[in-house]
Amino acid sequence: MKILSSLTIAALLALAPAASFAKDKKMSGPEVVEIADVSVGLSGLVCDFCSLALNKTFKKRDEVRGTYVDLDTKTMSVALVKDATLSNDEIIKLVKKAGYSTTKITRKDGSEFIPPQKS
Amino acid sequence: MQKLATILALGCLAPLSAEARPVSYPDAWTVMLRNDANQNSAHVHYTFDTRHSVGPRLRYDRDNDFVFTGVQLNRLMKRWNKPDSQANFYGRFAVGQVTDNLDSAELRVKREKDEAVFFGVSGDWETRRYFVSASAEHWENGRFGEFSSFHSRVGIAPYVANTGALHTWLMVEGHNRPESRDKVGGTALIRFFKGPSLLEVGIDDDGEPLLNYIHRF
Repeated sequence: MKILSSLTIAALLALAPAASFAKDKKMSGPEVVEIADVSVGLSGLVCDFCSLALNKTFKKRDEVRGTYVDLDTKTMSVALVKDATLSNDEIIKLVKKAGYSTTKITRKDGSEFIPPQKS
Repeated sequence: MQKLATILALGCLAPLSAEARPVSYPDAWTVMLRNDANQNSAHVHYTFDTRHSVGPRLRYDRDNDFVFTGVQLNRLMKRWNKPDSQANFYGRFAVGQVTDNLDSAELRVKREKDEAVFFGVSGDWETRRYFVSASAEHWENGRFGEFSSFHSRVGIAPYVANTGALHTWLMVEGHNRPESRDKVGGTALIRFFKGPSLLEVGIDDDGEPLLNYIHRF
């Protein structure tokens, strides 16, 4: 049983990274900040699993070209494909779906939206 | 029912667990492996909505030499998102079969089987610098007996790392397993966390190793 457990762990450790990076062709990384159309302020952001959840959830949308979550600034930068839009409501719903809360949405044109905070 | 209520109540007061965060984001798969002096456990789960995940659980009880094979449902009962912290409270439930680990071919005995049920609650609170967690579990293993276990954990990150960097945590875990030979003990461990992978390596007060691994897809 110990041998079986060890082999299982070894196999998963070997295979997991390859599987996780497969199929994700959208932009990620700090370079997204430079071209971002939307900056989303977040609360509840404490670790890389949080970043992963937000990135994966947003990247499923066709409108999204790339995302980057910065734990230091507690913001997610979202780059959209040309002529695409994501409304404030959609952004708030996506953040909630990932398990987090939106504190502020800032657009490229400088406009800001602060969602009402639930008690 | 009274036992379940007790477990839930203890979970509110007692320790938080290494199996914290058993629910990921919708459509995500997660592999959770835990290996310590008490058990070798593997749980693969699929998160089908914001609050629930489900998947197979395999657990070898090293104390009593039997194997649990079943399905586990995890529910995120409550999450608190704050500007600099996050807290979670989870419930877990599994049903399956327990089988003794005797080698029937060698010993010429028939393997014993029985139904089993597992209830657990866990909670965690963390910032990017500090971590606290606690869990309470109860297993009904038919002819293999019942047992409970309680875990608590505190951790500190010696440095605060940004997205994608290697995150390191120094942690101490305490446990109470009333029905076990090793009733009360502690484990010192290091957690390495990078991207979708989390690895924990530790050693308990009896010198037994701990090796945990979580990967999200």
